[in-house]
Amino acid sequence: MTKTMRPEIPANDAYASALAAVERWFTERGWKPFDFQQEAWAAWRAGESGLIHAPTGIGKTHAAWFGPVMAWLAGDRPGGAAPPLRVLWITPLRALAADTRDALQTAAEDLAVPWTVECRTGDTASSVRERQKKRLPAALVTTPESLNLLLSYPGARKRFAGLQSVVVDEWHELMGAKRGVLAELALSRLRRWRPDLRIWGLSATLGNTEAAMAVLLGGAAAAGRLVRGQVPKSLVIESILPSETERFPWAGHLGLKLLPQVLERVAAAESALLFTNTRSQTEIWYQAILKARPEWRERIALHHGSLDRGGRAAVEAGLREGRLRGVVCTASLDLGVDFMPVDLVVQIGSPKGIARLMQRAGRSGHRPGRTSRIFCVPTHALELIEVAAARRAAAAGRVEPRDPVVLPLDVLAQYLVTVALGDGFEPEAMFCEVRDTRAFRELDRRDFDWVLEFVSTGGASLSAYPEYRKIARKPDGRYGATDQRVAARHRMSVGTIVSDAAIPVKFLGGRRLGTIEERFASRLRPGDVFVFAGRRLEFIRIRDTTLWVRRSRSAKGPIPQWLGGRMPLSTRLAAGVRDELDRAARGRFESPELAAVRPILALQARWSVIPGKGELLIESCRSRDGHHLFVFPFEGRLVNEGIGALTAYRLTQTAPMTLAIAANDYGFELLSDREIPLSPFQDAGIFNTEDLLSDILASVNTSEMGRRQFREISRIAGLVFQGYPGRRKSSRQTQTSASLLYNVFARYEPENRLLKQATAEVLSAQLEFRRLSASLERMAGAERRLVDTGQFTPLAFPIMVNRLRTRISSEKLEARVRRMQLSLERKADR
Amino acid sequence: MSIDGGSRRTPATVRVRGERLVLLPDRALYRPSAKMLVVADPHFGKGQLFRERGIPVPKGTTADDLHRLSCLIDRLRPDALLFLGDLFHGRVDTPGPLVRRIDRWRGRHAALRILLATGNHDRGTGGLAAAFRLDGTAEAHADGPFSFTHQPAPDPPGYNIAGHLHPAVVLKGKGRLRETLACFRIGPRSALLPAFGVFTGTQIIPPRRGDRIFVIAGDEVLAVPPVNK
Repeated sequence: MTKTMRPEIPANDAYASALAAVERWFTERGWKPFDFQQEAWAAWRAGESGLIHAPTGIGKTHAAWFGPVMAWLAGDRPGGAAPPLRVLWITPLRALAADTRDALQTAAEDLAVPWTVECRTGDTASSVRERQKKRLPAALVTTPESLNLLLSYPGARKRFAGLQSVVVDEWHELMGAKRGVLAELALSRLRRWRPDLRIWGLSATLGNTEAAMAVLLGGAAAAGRLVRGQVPKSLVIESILPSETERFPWAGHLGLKLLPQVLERVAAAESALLFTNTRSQTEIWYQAILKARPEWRERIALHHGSLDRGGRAAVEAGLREGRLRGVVCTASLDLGVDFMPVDLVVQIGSPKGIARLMQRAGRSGHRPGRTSRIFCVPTHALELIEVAAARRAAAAGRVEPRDPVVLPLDVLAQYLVTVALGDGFEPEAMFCEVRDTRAFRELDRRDFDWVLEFVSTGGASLSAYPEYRKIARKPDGRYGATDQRVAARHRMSVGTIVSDAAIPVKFLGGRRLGTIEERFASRLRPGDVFVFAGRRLEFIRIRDTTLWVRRSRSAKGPIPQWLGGRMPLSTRLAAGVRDELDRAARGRFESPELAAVRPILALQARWSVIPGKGELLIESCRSRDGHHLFVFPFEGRLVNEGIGALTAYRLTQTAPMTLAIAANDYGFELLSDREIPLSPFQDAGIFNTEDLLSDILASVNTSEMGRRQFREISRIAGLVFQGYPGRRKSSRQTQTSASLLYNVFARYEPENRLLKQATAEVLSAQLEFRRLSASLERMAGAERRLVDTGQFTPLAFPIMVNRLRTRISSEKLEARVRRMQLSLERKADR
Repeated sequence: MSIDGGSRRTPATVRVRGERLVLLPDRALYRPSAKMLVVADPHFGKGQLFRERGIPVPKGTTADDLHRLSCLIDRLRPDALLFLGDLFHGRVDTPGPLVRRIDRWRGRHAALRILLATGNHDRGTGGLAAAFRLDGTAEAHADGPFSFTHQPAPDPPGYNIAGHLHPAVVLKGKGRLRETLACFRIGPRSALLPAFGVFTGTQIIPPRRGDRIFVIAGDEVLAVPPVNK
C-alpha cells in the first residue's frame, strides 16, 4: 500500500481539535491515552495499516476505534451525517459481537459521532440482515464467516465502496486456524476493491508478532506498522497445593480433592472465573461446588460452548452486572476480556500453553499496571511440573508463536464458490488476488486450476462429471452461480468450524438447553439420567432429531463427554517440562510444585528413572492387555503421536504385527498382543531420519490419522453437508459420512488433491514435520535408558489409561479378525 | 464344483431351515438349491445423485458395482437374481446414461430372471428400475422356507431374509485390537445381509443371543465367536 494514495487529510487544526476531544473523553474517565494508543491513531491518520499487540485489557479497542472516529470529527465526512459502511470490525466470536458493538457505539455517541454500529453474525435477525443487504451501517461488527457470506451476495463490491478501515480483533485467535484464512481471503478481496484500505489487527502478544502482522496484511505487509502496547502487567502464577500431610495419589486423577481450598478462595473474592480444559470438567466442578455450597445456587453459573446461546448470554450478563460470584467455564470465556474483569482466576487442570495461561490470568487485575494473578489447580500430580515450567517460561517471556495455515485448498474451494455466488470472478484476476494472501502466496497455478475445476466441473480433469454443477463459467468468461439450490446450500455451509454431530437437548416444555454429541445420545436409554447444563436430566426420547428430557431427582448420572478440543501441550511448555524434570533428576526441587510432586518422582526414580537432559526414557512391561512399550519424547501430544505412529510403522515392517498407539503430552505407548522386539530401540535405528518423509506418509496412510483429518476437509470443501437447521430430512439423500467418502476417494480417485491435503495437513498441522524431524534427531542422539519396569510407572500410567488409539498393522485383516471378539457397542455410521 | 469358481476369495456357508446358504465376500448371498443370487441395497446411481447435488464424489462406483455383480453371475451361473430393495439411491436429473449402462448390462445377462423386493429408496426413483427389465416386483418374495423383504419383517410367514440396515459389528481383541466390519447376521428366525454397493455406509447393530455373525474381512467371510451374554 502506498501512502500517497490515502485520502487527503483535512487541515491540521481540525484534527488537533478532534484529538483534544478524544483526550478529554479519556480525562473524564480518569484515564490518559497511552503512548501506543497515540501511536496507533497517528499511524491510522497517515494511512498506515498494522498490528497492535498488547496484553489483554489495556485499551487496544480504543487504539483502533478512535483513528476512524477522529477522522470523522476532523471533517472527513463523505456521505454526510449517516455515511455508508466505513469501518468493518471482525471478531472471532459472535458471542463477543454484541459487547463490541455496545462499546464502539457508546464511545462514538460520547464523542457526538452520529454513526450507527450494528452486528452481523449468525445470530442476527433476518429482518436486520435484509435491511443490511440494502444498506450497511457506518460500522459493522461481524465474524469471518459472516463477512464471507456478505461476499456471497451480488452487489458486494458496491456495498463496500465507502469502506475505510478494517479492524480484526483477537487476531491471535484467528491466525493459525482456517478461520484466519477465511479472513485473509476476504481481506484480499476488500484490498483489491479499496486499495487505500487501512487494516489493523489487535492481538495478544505472541512469540511471532511480526509474522502475525505479515499474515494479516498479506501483500500489503511490507508497509505495515507494529504497534506495541508498552504497559507490562505483572503476572503471578501460583498453585493450589494439597496440605503437606496429604500425599498426591501417584496415578490417576486428583479429581475434586482440592475443592475445599478452591472454595475458600472463591468465598474470599468478589467475582471469580474457574477455567477448565473440557466441557465435562466444567459440569463436574459446577456440580461439586453446588453440592458443597448450596447457598451459592443463585450466584454461581457454568459456561461452555455446548450450552444454549441464551443461557450463555445470561451468564455473561450476570458476570458483568456483578450478580454472579463465580463462573465455571471453558475456553468459551477466554476472550471478551474488555468487558468482564474479575478479581480471581483459577485454572483447573494443565495450563497447556504459556500464552493461554497468561491470557486467562489477564482476566484478573484487569486495569493497566495492576497485577494479574492465576491460581492453578492440578488434576493430576504431573500437572504440577507443567505449572512450574509455565511460570519459568512466562517470567522469561518465552511465549508460543502461532503458525499460520498455508495452502488449505479446502478453504480455497469454499471461497471460490462464495465469490462466484456474489459478484463472480475472472480466473486470472482471482488467481492474483488470492496469491495476495499469506496463506496462498505460494499457490501453484496448477493447484488453483485444479480447485477451480473441482468446484465447477467436479475436478478430475480426465473424467469430468457431466452432471455435476456448482459454479460455471459464463459466456463473458466470469465464473458465477448456476443453481439456486446449490447456492442456498453453500451459504448454509460457509465456515471452517467442524463439530461432531450434535443434537439439541430440550425440556418437554420446549426450552432448549444446548447440544450434546450424537455418540453420547445414542447410548442413552429412556429413563437414564445424565448431567448437562448444570442439571440432572432424565432422558425421555429422541424425536425430530431432538433429545427430549425432563428434570430428574436422581442423585447420580453420567456427564456427557465431548470429543475434540483436546489441546496438546505447547512445544515451549513441553520443553519446559523436560527442563524441570532434568532439574529434578539432579535433585533440585526448587519450586513449591516440584517439592509437592517429589514423592511421586521418587517413585518414578525407584521403579524406573527420571529422564535427565540428553536422555530418552523407554519403559516396557506386560499386563493382561498385552505387551506395553512406553517412550517419552516430551514433545506435546501431537508430535508424540506422530513419532509413535512412525515408530509403530517401522516396527511392523520388521515382522507382521499389529500395534495400538496412544499418546499424551509426555510420551507414547505401543501396545500389542504379541511381544514387541526391543532391539530396534537399543541402537536408535528406529529413530533415524533417513526415509523419514516416505515412512511418515506410509504411517499416516496406514493409520487412521489421514482419515481423521479428511473429516474436516470434506466438510469445508462442501463434500459433507451438515444439513439445514430444522430441515434435516430434505437433504437426507445426500447425507454421508466422511469416512465413507474417504474410502470411495481412496479407491476411485486416489489422486484427488483433497486426499493429498489430508495427508499434508496431518504432516504439517498434526505431525509438525519439521518439529518431528528435529525431535527424532534429538532422540537418536540421546542416551537411551531402556527399563523393564514390571509395572506402570507414574509417567506411564496416564498414557496407558488413554482410550483414544490409532492402530498400525502389517498383518492381514483376516488374520487379525481371527483373534477378535464381538463387542456389544452400538453406533451409527451411515 | 467349487462355489467360488476357484478364486482366492473365501465364502462361508451356513445351513438355515435345511438349506445351504453361501455368504459371499462380495457382500451377497447365494442359494445353491434355487440357483439364486441375493443382493441387498446396491444403491445404484448414488454417486451421480451426489454429483448432481453439487458434491463432487468420484465416478465409477456404480460401474464397479455392476461389474462385481457380473463377475458373480459369470462365476455362479444363477438362474435368478433377487435384489432386496434400495436398487437405486434416488431419482437422478439425467437418467439417460445410467439407464443405458444398465440396459447394456442386462443384455449381457439376458437369460437371468431378476426380481426386486421393493425398498424405501425405490419409491420415487422415476421408473429407473425398468432398465433392469424386472421379472417380478413385490414387497415380499416367498420362496421355499424363506420370505425375502427389504426391511426386516416383524412377523414373516417364513424365515425372513432382509437388508435395509447395512449391518456392521465392532470386533475387539487383546492389545486393543478394534475393527468395524460389515456383516451377515444369521439369527434363529431371520437374517440380515450387508449392503452390496461400494458407496454405502454401515450401521453398527447390536448382536443378539442366538445370532451367528459373519464378518467380511478383506477377501474372506469369517464367523465370529458368539456373544456370551
